[in-house]
Amino acid sequence: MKRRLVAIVSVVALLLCSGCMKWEYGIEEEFAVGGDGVFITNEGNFQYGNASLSYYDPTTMTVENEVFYRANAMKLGDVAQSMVIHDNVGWVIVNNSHVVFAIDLTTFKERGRIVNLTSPRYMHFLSDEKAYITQLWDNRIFIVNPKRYEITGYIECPDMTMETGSTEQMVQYGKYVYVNCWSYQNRILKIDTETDRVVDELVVGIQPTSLVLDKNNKMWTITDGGYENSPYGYEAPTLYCIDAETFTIEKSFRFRLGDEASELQLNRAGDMLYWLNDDVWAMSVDDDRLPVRPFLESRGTIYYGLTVSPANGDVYVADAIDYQQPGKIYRYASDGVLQDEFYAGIIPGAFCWK
Amino acid sequence: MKRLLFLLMVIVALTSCNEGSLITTEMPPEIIIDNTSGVYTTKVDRPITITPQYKYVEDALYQWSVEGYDGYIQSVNEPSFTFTSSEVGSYYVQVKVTTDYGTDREEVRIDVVDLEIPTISMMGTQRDYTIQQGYELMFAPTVKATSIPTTYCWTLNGVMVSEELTYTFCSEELGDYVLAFAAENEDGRDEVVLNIRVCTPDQMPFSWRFDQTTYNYAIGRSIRIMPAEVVNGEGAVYSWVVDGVTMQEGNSSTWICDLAQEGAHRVQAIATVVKDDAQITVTQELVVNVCAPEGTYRRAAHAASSAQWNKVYEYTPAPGQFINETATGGFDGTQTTAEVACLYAEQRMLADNWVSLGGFGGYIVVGFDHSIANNNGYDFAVKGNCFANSSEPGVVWVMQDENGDGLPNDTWYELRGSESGAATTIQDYAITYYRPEAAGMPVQWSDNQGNNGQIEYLAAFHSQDYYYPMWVEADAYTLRGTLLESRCYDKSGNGSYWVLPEYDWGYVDNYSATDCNREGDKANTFDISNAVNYAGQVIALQYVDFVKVQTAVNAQCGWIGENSTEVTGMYDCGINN
Repeated sequence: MKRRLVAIVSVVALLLCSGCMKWEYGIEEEFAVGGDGVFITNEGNFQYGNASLSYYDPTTMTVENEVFYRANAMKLGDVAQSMVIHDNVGWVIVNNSHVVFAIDLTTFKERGRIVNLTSPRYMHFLSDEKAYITQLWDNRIFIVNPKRYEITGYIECPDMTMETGSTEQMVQYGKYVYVNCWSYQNRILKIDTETDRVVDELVVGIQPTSLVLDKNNKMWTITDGGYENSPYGYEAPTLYCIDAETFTIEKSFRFRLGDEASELQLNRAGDMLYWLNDDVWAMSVDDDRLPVRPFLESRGTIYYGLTVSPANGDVYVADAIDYQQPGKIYRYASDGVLQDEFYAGIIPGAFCWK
Repeated sequence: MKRLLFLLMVIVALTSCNEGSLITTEMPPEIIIDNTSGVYTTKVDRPITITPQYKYVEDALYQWSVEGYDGYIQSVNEPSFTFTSSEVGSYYVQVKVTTDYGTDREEVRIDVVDLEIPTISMMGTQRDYTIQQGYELMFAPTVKATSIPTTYCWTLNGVMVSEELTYTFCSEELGDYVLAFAAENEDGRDEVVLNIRVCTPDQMPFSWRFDQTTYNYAIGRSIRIMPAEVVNGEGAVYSWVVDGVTMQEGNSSTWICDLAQEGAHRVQAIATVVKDDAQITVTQELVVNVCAPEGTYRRAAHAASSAQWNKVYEYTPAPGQFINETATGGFDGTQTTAEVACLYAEQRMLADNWVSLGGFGGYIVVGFDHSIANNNGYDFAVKGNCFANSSEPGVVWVMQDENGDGLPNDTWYELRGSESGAATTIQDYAITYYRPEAAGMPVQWSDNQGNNGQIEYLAAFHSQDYYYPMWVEADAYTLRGTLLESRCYDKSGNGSYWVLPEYDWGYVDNYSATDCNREGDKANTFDISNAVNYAGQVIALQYVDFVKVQTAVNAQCGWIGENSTEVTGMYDCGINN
């Protein structure tokens, strides 16, 4: 429900919403953070322009919230969807402000921005001068030049319209980038990065939410199955294992109807999968069946975001609480023992490790 | 090399033998669970047997254990295991197989869920009906959704007449009928029995009912007094008697009251109708208080007055997906009285959070610490949560404290909006909502235009037990107001993309280009000069004390659900604090 609802609602509003963001300015604050911390993108409430960026240092166990606003004296915008780091620059994708900000990782100050995006979701770098940005409510993936902060082209996605378009997370295998198509979609697209064209597609279950590539070059995606009475259909969510070389499904694990699976993540070694399905779940990429016991049980929480520390395997899970107040992050060791907890911003949804 | 391989094959062949599905060998045992998810589901008190496949289990010892279960374990040292529980929950079952050559373990989960016995919900608790011969009586029950097939059966006087969900009864024959509706599946059965009497027109019982018995207005004005409902009133004669003097007599059940003498007046509304050659008279006793002139109780703003609202007097939403909802609606389960519901609304708006009014007719009544003056231009603002293509308009009503008692018990005046007077706008629209029979069911409604429908239960998004307000004690309640034509539509054509366009002006939670602060607090602004009376005539109010916002559209917009106005707060535009 959570992310799906927010995203679907955003779909409803997007048609006539371009340029509706109004920047608010404050007083700039100086930061100089070091170490290997993690950024947290807090979506904020749709249409309220209260997205924010948090930064957590696992070593000192301290968090700085609203770092974008504090560093730039300017609000981040409406619905911060995700963040990616490339060449020591952070790229924050702000969905309903139609913008991607480039920020300095030490000072959090803006270094540039890519604008005029439809509804950006995720960004994938091919080089210093070329990246893809997926979109919701658009049948194109935008090609950008990050150095010049320019849109340089588009990848047309088949069998989508502007109203049904949805491209999400990307992984790369060789010269191909794969992207899951989520909202009212059921496909993984294969893009040739040399021609910037979709060259193949693979049908999976209803609404694949996320996509990762494991140590064996197997892609994993997890569908949410839609929702009851959805015009696109409703089915049990499924976890798929897809061979990146042959682009075929090798294994699939079906959940129960009514489950709400999402947020598939991998550890650094690429051998353990984590995801949300009310609780937090984990399994080895080599397992033959789904676990029956959760890695972390829900405690009346609304788990909304998930990540695994590349440094030590700690699991961070974000609790949106009630989607109104600042969300909470729980940090667990890989054996499930709680290490720390702290508040972030409203609706913490995604993480990005330095 | 080839010789060695042949020798190994011979050894393996000699030390292993197949006995059906069991393979015996000097290999350690192996358990193969037949369910890829490892999760088994059964119903309460319904046994389930787990039968894994095994390899290398000659003379094996089987051990089964269930975590968190104190009941009797039936299967010990058996390859299969049967489990039953009378408690809903998840149970972790471990199987351990040991032979001379080793041990294998597996864990599965058994989810014990409730029986899915169908529950029938009719519109209200009425089970006895009287209708005129030849008239149709349509029944459209809802049955709680189940994951297993459920069948329906209507019987009339014991004879099956339909297997559909809905049924329309009609008979030219006078008499008493027993109509029964049953829903059944493998888990159980529910049945509702209805008694129907078919009468001649003369035999049809007459009734009329008023929503209120006391009316207040400032001297010099007039109000409309009309019953909320008249049943079988054909041929009735209505008399309106004030302090013993007949003021109006005829076939109109409505009286325009313009009494000009200040004070309390006894009003008798007398209906006379002939039934079965007998004259029946039904009298309603009402009180009309003609109050002091406008301005007598005005509370002029002063330096300490706050622009913000200061009290919620009533919060009566229609059923809706955010009503009673704890995850995002801000309820916590304690809102079981009207007073606590008002506190909830106050706390929400104080925190700048929205309060949902639910479907059509749901309303909130708010007051200020002073009277809001009718100045030039906009006088007050109501904050909502509209945005482009997402307008859920609410009609605004205003009231003066005409009797000076500090309570909103006087006369409401509607503020005109862009749809006032339009052919598609229905004044005095009334809708009745019926409490569902069980959790997880939609809320049925019927209106005074002969329509019925339901506020859908959206389990995927808002899974609280009931969308019917917890603090509404009655099993049915009626909300009245002005109905605007819905503008929501499915732009995608496949149900995935619903658009709720804005209206021109004059409504709350409306992305109006005219009166909405689109880039700011999403407030719509209102001019008291747009107040009109019951006849749609402008009534010049110098000020108002209370503001009511009411959801004005009755629409179900696919997965978005019912159209519901949201209110985040109100403020006086004439005060700058």
